Amino acid sequence: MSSKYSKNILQRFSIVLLALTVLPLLNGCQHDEDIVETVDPLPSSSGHAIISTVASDFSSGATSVVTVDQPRTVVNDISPTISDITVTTDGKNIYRIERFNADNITKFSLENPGVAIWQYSTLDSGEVGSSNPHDFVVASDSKAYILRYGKAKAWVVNPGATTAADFKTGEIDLGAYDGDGVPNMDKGIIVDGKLFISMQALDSSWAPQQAYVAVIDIATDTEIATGKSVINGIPLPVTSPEKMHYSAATGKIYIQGSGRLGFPPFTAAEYNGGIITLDPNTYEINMIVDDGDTSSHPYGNIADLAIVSATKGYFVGYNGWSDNTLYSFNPTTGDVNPTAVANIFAKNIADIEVDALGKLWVASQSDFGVIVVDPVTDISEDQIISTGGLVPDTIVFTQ
Amino acid sequence: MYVTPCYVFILMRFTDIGLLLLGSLLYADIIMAAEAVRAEAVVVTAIAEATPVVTGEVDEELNTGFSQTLTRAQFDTRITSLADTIAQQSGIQVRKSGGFGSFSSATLRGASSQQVLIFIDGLLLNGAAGGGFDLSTISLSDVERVEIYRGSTPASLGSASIGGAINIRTLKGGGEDKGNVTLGYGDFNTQKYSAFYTTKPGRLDYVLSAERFSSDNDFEFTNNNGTRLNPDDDSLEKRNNSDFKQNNILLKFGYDLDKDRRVDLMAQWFEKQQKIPVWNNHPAADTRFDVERLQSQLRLISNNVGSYGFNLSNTLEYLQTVEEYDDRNGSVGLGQQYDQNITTTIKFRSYTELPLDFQELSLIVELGEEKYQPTDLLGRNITIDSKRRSATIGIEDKLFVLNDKLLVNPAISVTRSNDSITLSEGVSRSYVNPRIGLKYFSNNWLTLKNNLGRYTRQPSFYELLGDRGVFIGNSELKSETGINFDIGFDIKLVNAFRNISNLSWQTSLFYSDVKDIIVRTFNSRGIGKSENIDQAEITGIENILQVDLVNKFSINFNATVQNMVNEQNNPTFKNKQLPGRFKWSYSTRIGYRHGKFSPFVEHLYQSGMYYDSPNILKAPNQNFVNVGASWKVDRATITFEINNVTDREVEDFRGFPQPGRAFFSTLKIDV
Repeated sequence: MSSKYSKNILQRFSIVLLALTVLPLLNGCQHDEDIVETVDPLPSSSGHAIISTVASDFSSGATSVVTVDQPRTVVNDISPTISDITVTTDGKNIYRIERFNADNITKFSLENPGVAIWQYSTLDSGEVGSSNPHDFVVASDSKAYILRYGKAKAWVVNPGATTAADFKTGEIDLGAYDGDGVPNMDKGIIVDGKLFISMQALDSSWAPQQAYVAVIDIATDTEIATGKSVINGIPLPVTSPEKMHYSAATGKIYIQGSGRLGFPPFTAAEYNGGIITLDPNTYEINMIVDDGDTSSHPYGNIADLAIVSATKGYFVGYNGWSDNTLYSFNPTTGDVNPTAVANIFAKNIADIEVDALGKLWVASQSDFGVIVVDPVTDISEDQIISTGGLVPDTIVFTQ
Repeated sequence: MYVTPCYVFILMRFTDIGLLLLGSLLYADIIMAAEAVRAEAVVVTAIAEATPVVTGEVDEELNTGFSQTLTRAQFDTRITSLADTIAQQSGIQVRKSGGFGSFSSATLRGASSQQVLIFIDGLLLNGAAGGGFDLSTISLSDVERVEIYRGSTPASLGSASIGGAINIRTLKGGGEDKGNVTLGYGDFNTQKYSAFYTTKPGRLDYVLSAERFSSDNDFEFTNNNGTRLNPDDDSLEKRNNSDFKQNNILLKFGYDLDKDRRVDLMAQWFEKQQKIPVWNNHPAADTRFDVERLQSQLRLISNNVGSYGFNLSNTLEYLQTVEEYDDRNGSVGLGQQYDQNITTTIKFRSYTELPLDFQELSLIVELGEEKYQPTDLLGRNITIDSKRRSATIGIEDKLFVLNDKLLVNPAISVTRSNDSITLSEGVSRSYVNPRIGLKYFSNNWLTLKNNLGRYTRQPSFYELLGDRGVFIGNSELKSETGINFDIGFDIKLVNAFRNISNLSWQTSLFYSDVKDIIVRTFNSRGIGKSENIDQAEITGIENILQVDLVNKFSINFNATVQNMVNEQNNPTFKNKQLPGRFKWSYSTRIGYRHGKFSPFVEHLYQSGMYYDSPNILKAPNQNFVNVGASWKVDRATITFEINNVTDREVEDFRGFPQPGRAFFSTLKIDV
């Protein structure tokens, strides 16, 4: 091979080589940090539904906002993040809670849900392990409560704080409700100046123990002695309490307990749940719907609850993995209609809630959206509200 | 808003420009030194070097698949890990959860880490229990070669899967007496001490190797306190509870019974004590994950047996892995956990080869039993043992036609397995995996290759059984199957040009159609279950370019572009990229040798990865530059290197940072 020819080849080859090396550099000035979103303003409505959404493989999550009035406007995939999230609202703002091993709460305004107003940790600097925040209950513009499922103490916080130092203002120790010191506080509701906190009290193998409701005076942030137990709170006849709903029509708080879901072949389902009422003044408890026992459990575990009126309510029967059925019942008498509502059965139902217009919203993960049911007719609307690919998980309404 | 990151980006680009300048200098040096061609080889090239082939091992000349081989010289003077060593190769991507010793997994050609098989000397390390194999449990000190088979796995390895295979070959005895002692030290109190010696007094030969590797892994990183949107509570901290220490001993004995028969005994013991940091870096965390593995092989090779001259290799293998996870304080996981998992495998492998004039017929038989025993050391849950028995028969032909220009390599394997699981009925599965490979030797420098095959991954015990309180089992899972196709060429030129002593160029186009991918889905209560719901189509192109210039410079360039389309019917995932893999991956290594001084610079750039299946969480691009140099003085080699020169903070797994800039040095003394 001649020297000239060789040199030409070498030169061309070197150019190719340098071009190949340069190729990665031509990707431009890309930005690796979180991208700030802008979301178009939502139309005015009687209210808005705020829905936390999740990928079915739990690899990510986001938020959707939907107008309650029809025709409904839907904005999906707002503020993408991890999957273990839930949302709450005070009517003007969205509070996104990132739970296990994420331990933070982020506030967004409903007017611009793509931009965080603040984001604060729900762990003290000295705490090890996840606080696993499950609920954020707003009492006023300057007071809210964080129910920390993985810790003994709930936090009293200022949702109007502009710095992390001003965020946490106090704490409420509920560690006495569980032998392991972690009562697994799950949901909270404020009725007549009192905060009712449900506690699941799981043991170290996640088996539910004696569940309680603690009652907090929100003026003093101290626990009220209900006289129902030696540790101030109210022992419940159901295990794993989850949803709590106050009905002005009946003057009662409705609490749903799911018992213990089965994990075959490791553990079988336990039917120690149901729907109970709690009188917010006398703290009297009544069982309204019992989920049954090992031999007879017509609805499976009772996994969710929504109250429309004194005579109409709904619950979700959990019969196995992605085998959920929507039932209606009478919240006053406890009578259950054993027929699936609106043919919603053998589905994966994550949440049921009632909007300001009295309609039932069913977060159907099987349908990748929300089914709206008219409680008067128990017929669902033709159109399913799509949550954009991610499946709906938690629904809250601004009104 | 974007000024600062852009500025940093530009600074980063200066590093690349530095690389380019170095490339230009090399070019200038090439021209200047064009007349000074030396005979001495300077570069360890990675594409398939010829080494003596032992019966039952892969003969690279007869392998129609696309592969790369890393030799010991590429890592034995450095403090590095298997994951870091293979990360820069084409088609392969590595994800790490932290510094040295942390969990590391590999994907090949877009396949999941579970679809990539890892072997040591042909012994399969992937357990039926499941999960991608943790590369951090492989010690490099006793490794002679790392063979990477992309897409198609040689039949002689017995087992095969959808992504391909990585076969780690340990040091061989039988050659001249040799050995070395290596001492290494670096940032984060990283220490590595290793030694090996091999000799052959008469018919007996043996290899002794030992290593201790440890690091505090207390590198600095920005702890965002879990609030990515709130920079006010960020702080620069040292990583807590991330230290590890590992020990590795290899003993190999070989005895030549006669010129055609040889018996080999190998035993390797490995143990690692690994601390697990908490996502928020809490200093009080004390979670740990310990691994102890014992593996042994007894092999008898008999060549030229009978009148037909059969070559036989019969191997009995034993592998036991004990893993212990201790999170009794609930620092990392949900609640308290203290678990022990013991996996025991016994396998017999028989390889029979019949060399004929124009072909070579092979029969591979594997019989194995794997037992998995998980135990809740807190005594809260029942123990469910699992056992998988499997039998595989494979037949392979290597047929030369067209005047030895075309190698036709058809193979078929039939596997039947039976899972026996406490508390449930046993499940049997059978599958047939045919494949064919073609290799056309166009001339002495160009080879064309083409492969088509069907590959399978069986569901793991974890997917079949579930886990306490997190996943429920699904005993009806089917095996994942993939149809792999690739086509490409190899160019190898030795002294073809006056200034280029070696040139290797490998390009391959690949396609994979994967069905019944097992995915964990979660229901409305957050309870997971594995289901056969995913399917994917993966296409891509790989390029490997290696050039040795005027016996002074070595330039290695790897580029992979792959499109991994999720074709699941679920609208959330359909037509999205499979998560956890980069779409674009480039690496460059430039080495220079001037007398006893050998500096090098490496650059790895990867982009286009999503953390999630819906593709709404995009992973940051990765851009690493490493530099270093070695001085060889008599028997001693001193190496000094700086990893991650630009001090980039990188997370392969969200919330698990890797070290920034770090200095390491080693002293190797040949015996």
